[in-house]
Amino acid sequence: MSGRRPVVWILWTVVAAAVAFFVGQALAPEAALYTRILSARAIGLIGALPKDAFLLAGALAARGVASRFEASNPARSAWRIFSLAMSGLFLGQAVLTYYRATGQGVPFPTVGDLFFVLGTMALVVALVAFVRAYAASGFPIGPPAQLWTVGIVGALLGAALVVPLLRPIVAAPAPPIEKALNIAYPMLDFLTLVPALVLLWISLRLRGGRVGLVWGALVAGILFTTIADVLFGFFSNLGRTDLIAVIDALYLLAYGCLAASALYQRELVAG
Amino acid sequence: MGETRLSTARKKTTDVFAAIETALRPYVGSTMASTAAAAQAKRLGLDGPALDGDQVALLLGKLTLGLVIFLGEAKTESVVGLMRQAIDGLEEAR
Repeated sequence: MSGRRPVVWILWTVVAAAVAFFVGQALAPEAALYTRILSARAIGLIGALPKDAFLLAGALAARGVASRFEASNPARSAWRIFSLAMSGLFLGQAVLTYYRATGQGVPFPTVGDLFFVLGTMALVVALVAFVRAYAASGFPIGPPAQLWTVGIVGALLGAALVVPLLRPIVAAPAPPIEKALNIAYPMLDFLTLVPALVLLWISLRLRGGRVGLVWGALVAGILFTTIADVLFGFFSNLGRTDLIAVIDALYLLAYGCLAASALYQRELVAG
Repeated sequence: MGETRLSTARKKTTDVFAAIETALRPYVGSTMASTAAAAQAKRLGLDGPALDGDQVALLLGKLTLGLVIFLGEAKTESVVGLMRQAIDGLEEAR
């Protein structure tokens, strides 16, 4: 374990530094660091490259984890799908990084959106597969009625977040693909939130243990992604592009947590 | 998985649960560790004050099937090995 632990510490250090950078920008946007020392392109890359690295690390670690489980183990397919999800998000993010690196504005939509949508759909399937695998473990993860209640509460909470976002999107005139994507993103957030909250409930029973660390990081990653997506939608509707640094910080935190969950699980199965 | 033979002597159920809890705690936390063995034993109908070697093997087998989902086969083997050692070291139930 000791040989692998530094990878997770390096990850958390990069997450902390990158998040601090963008929190700093949100709090003091006029500071010299963000206006004179660094160009807009450099700031864009500081936001984009760590996200690429986190998602790629998560995809590779999850793939490694899947290979450690027996073919008959339901956790194997769950981790494989999670690896595919992280790969999809990585490819989507890589497209955004390309535009930021070339100094162009990021158009919408791009081929990156296709990867983001496919990656998020895979994430939903992976989360459901995790819940099913853990239910099959026979460990006391909670009575089914309790898990259903959490799922229903999650669905109501998700609806409360997503419906206000969808109304102006549906009403606004936009090209069909753009409108479809604008509707798809909040809907996918909604679909992700429900199994994520069920996993959160299960992971509370595992708190204090190394398995709980894996699930805590994964659920935190999902929740930060959802918060970032929802805030992005609200800020866009309000025209508050000046708050983009907050969104960057949240995505960095989200992708860092997702990568950490796969790395923690890799340590666990390899140790 | 886990070829080490368990002793056939009867052990107090509470002691067996405590040994399992100690081995599980670093991985699944105190809450899950303290309830996992009792929950599986209940499913298997092992509700007596003492467990013989076969009953302990049955219980560990059931726990193994669940634990591999969280930890994978190699790590589960080492954790269940620790449980066996600890249970073997327990005093016989009178």
